[in-house]
Amino acid sequence: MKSTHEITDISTEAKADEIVQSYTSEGCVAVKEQQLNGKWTVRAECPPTEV
Amino acid sequence: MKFLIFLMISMFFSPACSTVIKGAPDSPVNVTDELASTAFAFEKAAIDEYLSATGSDKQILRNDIVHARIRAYDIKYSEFEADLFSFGIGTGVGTDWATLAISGLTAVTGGASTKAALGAANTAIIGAKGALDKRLLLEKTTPAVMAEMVNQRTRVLLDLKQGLSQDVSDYGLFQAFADLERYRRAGTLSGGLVGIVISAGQETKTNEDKISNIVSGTYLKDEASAKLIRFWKPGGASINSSNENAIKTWMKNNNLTVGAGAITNFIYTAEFSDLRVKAVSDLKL
Repeated sequence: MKSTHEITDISTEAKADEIVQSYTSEGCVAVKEQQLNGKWTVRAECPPTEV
Repeated sequence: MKFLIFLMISMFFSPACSTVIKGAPDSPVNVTDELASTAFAFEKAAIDEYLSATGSDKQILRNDIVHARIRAYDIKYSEFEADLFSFGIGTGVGTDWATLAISGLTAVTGGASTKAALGAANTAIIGAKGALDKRLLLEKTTPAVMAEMVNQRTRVLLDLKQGLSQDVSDYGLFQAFADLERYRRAGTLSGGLVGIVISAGQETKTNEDKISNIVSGTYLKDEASAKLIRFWKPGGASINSSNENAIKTWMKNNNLTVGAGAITNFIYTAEFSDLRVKAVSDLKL
C-alpha cells in the first residue's frame, strides 16, 4: 500500500517548495497547500514503504 | 354534515381516490402458474431421483432442481420488492392529500360545529400521519437496503452459476442447496442490513489502515538537517547514492523506516530532531 506523508506548519512557500522537491527526489508525488494560519503543509504520496 | 365529512375522508383513503404509484409494471407472465411449475424442485421425489441417478442424468437433474428453485425465489423476491415500494409511497401520498384538503375545508366552511368537526377530523388524520412518519426512517433507508440485497443476490447467483458448471462430484445438489439458502437470505431485509454492516465495517478497516499509514510531522529544519542535506545531496540537487545508502543504513539500525519519503521526513520534521543530531554524530558529518 502507498504511504502518505505530510509535513505541517512550514513558515514560507519557498521552504514548502524545498520539501516538495525533496519528496519528489525520493520518488513521491508531492503537493503544497497553504493552511488557514498562512503557513504551509506539504503532502506526499509515496510508493510502498520498506521496514 | 358529520356523515359527509366521514364520507370525504373515506374517499381520500379509498383505492379509487388515492394516488398509488406502483414501483414496477405488472408482470406479463402468470406468476402463480410459473411458481406452481417450480414446485417439483421442492418435492422429496425430485431429490430421490437425483440421488439414484448417475452420470450426465444426475447433472441434468441437479441443474433442473437448482434452476427451478432459483426461479421460485426470484418470483417471491419480485413480489416482496414490489410490496416494499408500493407500501411506503401509496400510504404516504394519500394521507398528505387528505390533510391538505380538510385543512382547506376547515378554513372556508361556514358553521362553527362543522368547523369543529372538520378540525377534529384533521387532527385525527395528522395524528395518523405522525404515526406514519415514524416509518420515515424505514422508507428512506429501504432503497439502500434493497440495493444491498440485489448486490448480495447477484454475488450468490454467480456462485450458483459457477457451481452448476462443475461436475456433480465437485458441486453436488446439497452444496447447491446451501448456496440457494444464502440466495434466499440475501433477499431479506435482515440479509441486506447485515450486508451493509459488513461493508461498512470493511470500509472502516480500510480507512483505518490508510490513516495508520499516514506519516505526519511538524516542520523543523535545524543545523543537523542542513548537514544531512549536504551529505545526501552534495551539489544541492542530485542525490549521492552511496551517501543515501549510508543514511538509510543508519536509519535502519536505529529502527526507522527507510521507504520513499522517509529521508525527507527524517530531515525536515521536529519529531526526529534528537535522532538527527545522533545521525550527524554517528556519520561524522
